[in-house]
Amino acid sequence: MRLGMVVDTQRCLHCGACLVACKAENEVPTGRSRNWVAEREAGTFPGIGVRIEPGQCMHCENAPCVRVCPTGASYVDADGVVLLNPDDCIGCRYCIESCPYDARYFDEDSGTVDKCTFCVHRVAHRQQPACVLTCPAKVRVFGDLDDAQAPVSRLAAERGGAVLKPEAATRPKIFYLS
Amino acid sequence: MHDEPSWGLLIVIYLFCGGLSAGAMMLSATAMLLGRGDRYTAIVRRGAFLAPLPVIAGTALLVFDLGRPLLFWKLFVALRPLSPMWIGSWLLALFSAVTLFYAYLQLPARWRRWRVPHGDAWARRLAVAGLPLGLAVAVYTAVLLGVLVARPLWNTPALAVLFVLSALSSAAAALMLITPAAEHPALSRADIVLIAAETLTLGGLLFYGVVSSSSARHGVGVLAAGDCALPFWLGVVLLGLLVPGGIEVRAARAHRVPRALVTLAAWLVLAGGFLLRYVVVYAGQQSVLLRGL
Ligand code: SF4
Ligand code: SF4
Repeated sequence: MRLGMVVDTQRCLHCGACLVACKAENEVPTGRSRNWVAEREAGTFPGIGVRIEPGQCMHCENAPCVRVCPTGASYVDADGVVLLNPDDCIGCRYCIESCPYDARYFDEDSGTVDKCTFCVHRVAHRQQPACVLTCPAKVRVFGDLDDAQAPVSRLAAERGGAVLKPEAATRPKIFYLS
Repeated sequence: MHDEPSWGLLIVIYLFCGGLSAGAMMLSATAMLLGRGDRYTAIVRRGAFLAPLPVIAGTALLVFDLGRPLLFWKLFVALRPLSPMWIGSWLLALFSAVTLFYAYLQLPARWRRWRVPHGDAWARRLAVAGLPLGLAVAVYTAVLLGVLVARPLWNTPALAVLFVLSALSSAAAALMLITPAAEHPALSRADIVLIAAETLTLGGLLFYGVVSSSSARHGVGVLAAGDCALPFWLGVVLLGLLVPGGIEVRAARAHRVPRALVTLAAWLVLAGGFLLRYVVVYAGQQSVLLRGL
């Protein structure tokens, strides 16, 4: 399995339900968040507009955060999900600085870093990640990118899955539909 | 997502201390290997005494800065050869051991509790090892930052050149404060070359940023025109490079420059070296990889 996601930005209502769902599901400390909904300038003159762009850890295939981690606390699991073992994390915050998407945060209380896990604890029980399930507009579609028949793969193939900051060469596994 | 900078003053001090120690080791070793007879004994000795101190203090601060300081030993049980921080941890441990032993061999014989057979030969061997090791430590303080594609201000090899030159220059200045005046001309000559090279490298780094990708331009923009602009131009460039460089050139030319002025130049170089790490660490964390080249 190679877990990934597509995001249909055009559907996004900017309601923030995914942010609340993630916070509640993962008990994210106040003032921190594992996902976001950004407003970006999009298009070229004269068609400049604002695009609402939800995001989170891109679960990069070429993840700088995993490479720079000096203890091996950050790792990629068998399904391609970038995870963090808090027992091994010394809180050096190197991984935070290495992430081009600013997907990680430092948790003052535990002294460790944390981030989006694709809700692997839910996926293990064949449930969707909290942000995916909660979204009233079905902006995020989650699944196995190795399975060509899965909706996530079909959407990416049909509607051109662009990744954010391709120049960072991180090979993200979240694709933005055009 | 995060708002505050991940790395603050303690990391700045750590990077500066690492560079200062590395520079002191390189200068002491060079003086030992080049100097015939008693030519540079003070530089060799005081450099050897200086080398282990900042790096050990700086490493202690780094450990203290971790989210979980008591778990620092995890750095040494993992095998993470692609992580600059992992490589750096081992490098610093090795460097600290070598510089401590090297400093011990420079102690007056009556202070040495353990007798080391062939002490002088060992000192030379350690100098030969300490030279590349010191260079590696100085380079590491920049590579730690430089590998991060996400931070365009840091993501250039020029940063390593800059930090190495600044490390040597800071060490030369520190040695000027703790060696007798007879050996100052040698230090000062070296420092003039180092300051000139450092100024050129800094200019090159800014120029490279301005003319290459928009991310790089934004990166050097944060340094030269953002929150750090004043400490950068006034502190690093003017008071840290140009003014002390000017004083040292005058001192080298006209033999009579008040000693207080030379001392002031040395302090300015040290403060400038510290401020360089400060602005690079802070501005670098504000620089982000932009979308599109
Ligand atoms: S988005 Fe950031 S945290 Fe997630 S895998 Fe990529 S580099 Fe790591
Ligand atoms: S903060 Fe933790 S996970 Fe991140 S690089 Fe350091 S040890 Fe690894």
